[in-house]
Amino acid sequence: EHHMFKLPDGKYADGSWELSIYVTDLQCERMLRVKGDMHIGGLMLQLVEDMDVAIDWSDHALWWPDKNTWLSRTRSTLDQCAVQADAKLHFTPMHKTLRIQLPDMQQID
Amino acid sequence: HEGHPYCEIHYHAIRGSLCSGCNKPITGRCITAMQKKFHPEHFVCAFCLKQLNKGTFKEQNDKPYCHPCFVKLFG
Repeated sequence: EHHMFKLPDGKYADGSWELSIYVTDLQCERMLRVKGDMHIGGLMLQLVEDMDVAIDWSDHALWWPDKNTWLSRTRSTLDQCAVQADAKLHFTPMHKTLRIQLPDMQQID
Repeated sequence: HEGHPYCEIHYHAIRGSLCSGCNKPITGRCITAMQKKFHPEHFVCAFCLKQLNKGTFKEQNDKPYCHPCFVKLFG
């Protein structure tokens, strides 16, 4: 990969910037160099290829805790989702265990 | 193979019948896709790992994907 100048605002000369994504399953943070015109789907692909771990990722999606929202429209770009370099995203399963208490007070998971 | 003795792995390596998924010999059913050979159970979507059928997968950057994952990742 060729060298790029980093500008004072943290962006690179080609318009790319670094985005931090926390992968909850692996409990690790990955830094990806991205551009605003990158699609959410392309970002997930780059993340999975970067990790190179063979697990079923089909239930995973990008969660933006600060905005309380899933980035589930994978054809949208980072610009369209207003994701910028200060965003802290999570890559996490969409289906999680939930404990509910029924009217008879019994609890099930 | 052509009059020379080989161990099983090298015999299959020369014949091109090692699975690209697990790198072990393919003796039974075999799927040929993307100029590679696979055990049917090792020809899987690169994103969800579900088994693929030849003819229904989509290829991108030399990796196979099922249709739902392909749409999700590549639009």
